[in-house]
Amino acid sequence: MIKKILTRALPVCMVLMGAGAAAADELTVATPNDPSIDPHYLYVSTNAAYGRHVFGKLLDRDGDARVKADLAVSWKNIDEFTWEFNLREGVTFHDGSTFDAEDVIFSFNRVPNVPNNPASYESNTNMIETITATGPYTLVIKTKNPYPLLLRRISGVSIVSAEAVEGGTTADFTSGQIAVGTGPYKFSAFVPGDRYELVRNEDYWGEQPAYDKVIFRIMPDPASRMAALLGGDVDIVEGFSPSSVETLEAREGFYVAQRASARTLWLYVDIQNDQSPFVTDLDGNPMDNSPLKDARVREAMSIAIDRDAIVTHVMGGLAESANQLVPAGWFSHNPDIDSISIDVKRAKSLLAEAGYADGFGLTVHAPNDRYVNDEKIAQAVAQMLARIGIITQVETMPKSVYFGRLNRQEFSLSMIGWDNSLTGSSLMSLSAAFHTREKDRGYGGWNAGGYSNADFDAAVEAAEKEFDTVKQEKYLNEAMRILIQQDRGAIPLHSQFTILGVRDGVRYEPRVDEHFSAMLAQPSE
Amino acid sequence: MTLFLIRRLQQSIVVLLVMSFVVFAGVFAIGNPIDSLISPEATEQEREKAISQLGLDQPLYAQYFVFLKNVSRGELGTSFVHNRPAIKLILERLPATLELTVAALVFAIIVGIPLGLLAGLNTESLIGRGILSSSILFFSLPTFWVGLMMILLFSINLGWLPTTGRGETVEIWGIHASFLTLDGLRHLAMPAVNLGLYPLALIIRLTASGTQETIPLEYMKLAKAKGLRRRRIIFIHLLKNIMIPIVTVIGLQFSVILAFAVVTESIFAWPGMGRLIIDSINLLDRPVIVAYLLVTVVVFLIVNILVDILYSILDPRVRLGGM
Repeated sequence: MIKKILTRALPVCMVLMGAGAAAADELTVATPNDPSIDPHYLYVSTNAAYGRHVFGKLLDRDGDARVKADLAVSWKNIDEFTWEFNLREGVTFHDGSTFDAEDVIFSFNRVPNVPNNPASYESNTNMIETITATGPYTLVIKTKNPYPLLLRRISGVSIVSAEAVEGGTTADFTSGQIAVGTGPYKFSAFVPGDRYELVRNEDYWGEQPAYDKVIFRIMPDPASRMAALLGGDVDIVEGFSPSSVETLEAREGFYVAQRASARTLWLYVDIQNDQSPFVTDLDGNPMDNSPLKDARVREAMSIAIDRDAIVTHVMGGLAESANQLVPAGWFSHNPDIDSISIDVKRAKSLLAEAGYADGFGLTVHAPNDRYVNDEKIAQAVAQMLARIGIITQVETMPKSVYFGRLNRQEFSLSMIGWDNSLTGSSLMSLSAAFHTREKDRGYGGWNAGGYSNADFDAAVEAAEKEFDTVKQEKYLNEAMRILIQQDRGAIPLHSQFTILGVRDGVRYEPRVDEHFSAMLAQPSE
Repeated sequence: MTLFLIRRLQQSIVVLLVMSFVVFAGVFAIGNPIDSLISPEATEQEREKAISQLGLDQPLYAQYFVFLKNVSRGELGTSFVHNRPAIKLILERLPATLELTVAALVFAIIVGIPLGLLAGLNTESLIGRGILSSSILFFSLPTFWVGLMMILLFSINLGWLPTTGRGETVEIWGIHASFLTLDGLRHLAMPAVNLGLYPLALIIRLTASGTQETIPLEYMKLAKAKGLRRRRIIFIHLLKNIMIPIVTVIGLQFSVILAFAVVTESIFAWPGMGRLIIDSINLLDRPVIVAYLLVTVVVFLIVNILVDILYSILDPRVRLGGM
């Protein structure tokens, strides 16, 4: 009888104990983002974040956006065009096959050739002329032009297994069939729109992550993500709404993990058009001579905006006011640019000097589903501009409509938030958003204000080619000075914070690029 | 019957064609998915390459023509966001939504018809009035608010039910179902009730008013005079006669809930089709939007045909050929 009870009860007990232990080693994350399992399909930052769990790169970027060795152990510059990489030996893919230079070459070649890809990763490979293996673990990359940024760019190329992926499609990745990388986690299951499950790769070459299993629950609604956290169904909430910060902090057993991120918000001003589309006189008629072309007007607008008020009241303190396009403390942050303090009186006199003492009419455009509080920020800006006589309307729209119109230069004053973590400097924002549009050379692809200054262009191009970081920073600082201090070509607003809601018992350190990484989470007991 | 089906089929094809064009033109007018998807680092050349690769540089009529050509081969296009056939994405999500919809309607019918009868038979009593006035509450309270309040009460404060998600599923015939496991049922309960509140209110009110109208009729009096038992009078003579409007509403509600359960699905993170369409609209994933709406139209058409057939079974006076 006793034996019978024991034989029946024991397995039950073991199952119960086992279940308890498994739960402690599991991390459940509520996220708004559906992943692309194919690491070469759809280049958006959330996919890059998911990809880091399963796939390795030659070099990666760490949580502070510094270059970090991954599948390459050492590298050197042979000349301005040529780079040599030594690869890590003894690394295996999740399916057991060995990693070598062929896999790297295969991956670099696959990136521009994924069919039907609306957002290709090829901006990370198209500066490369040739990539050749000189041995199973040595690799030479030749670039088309001198390209010091290569070390950062190649962190955008995930390395997949040539044997597994050859002939495979994005759908084969989604099914998990060929989703094999060298990363710290392995693909376990993916139910589109519901969950993405990963298990620890016990054969990972580097430091093992703390959790055995990571479950991403895909939940688009911020209120239900919050509810799931409070109800104990998830451990971490990504895309945490700033309006919930106070509620969460007031509750026992939870905390808000936050960090200043690499994303800086600024306003483009239409500098190019004589007749700017959304500039009117006070009676609402279009103006032939856009006041926005006058640097004094742009300066007046900039000093009319009370950034500290936006940070305190709109962002709930979860932002840092900015006086240029990269956050303070970053490489290429120019310390000589004056901080911008609000000065309504001077703003009014600048407007009067420029001949617009009575002001004029303007519309500010912003997305309403892209940045933290984007719509509210636009409203605050409009009210502050109205204070100096620039009667400003606000028009916001979903990002799917907004960014197309922005790029076609359809706005007079428009918002954007730029993530600087790719280059870890101002280089990408300056060359893409303010260099004169030159399609053939790949400059100015996002120049939505039509800014153009030959000195600025020269400084940016010099910085891009410069291998010496001290000199490079000098060029970048010069370009930033011309753009912000001299030409008032953009109006910086603030750098936003990454915010996550976390259950006590889990310690999480956010990355500066806003990417979520389960490798940065660990149990705190 | 056959004639009826053939005629219906012809009408359906016309509806589908018109619908596809309207949706296609509408999404075309909103903008270009590349603009919101492409990374800010991409150069102008890369953008143009992506646009032409997806055929988005073609004029509207050319794109629509390509679409029709693909449809004739049974392809509804490939999702820009997921790089998989749109129809596959939709059908993959269909079972989850179907499960939720059926659960919601079963809840609404099981609770709604008895309550409606009760209210209709006892109009003057407190119970009858109570039921009718609370039914007003059910369809005037916004779904998302009720959903959040339910989560707050049952999950966070009382801790009885899980907040969101689908829970453990069992695979039958290759389809995942929640309602066969206890964990799955616990996950299903709240979203199903939340989604079922609106049809519940409709069913209660229709049943109650139908009952009220039917009770004074001659044949009801005759049934009573014949000495039939009360149960037989109510469940056979009364219920069968008031079923036609109720079946219509259930049919309509079924299609509406199936196609647009998006609010409940978002709040309870239920991985169904409604979520897919909202995500696709946000990203202008045109193939999915078009395919989704076409699937929706097909569902509506099928349900309407089924409802018409049901009429003829419930009421032999209805002749399908004449419709």
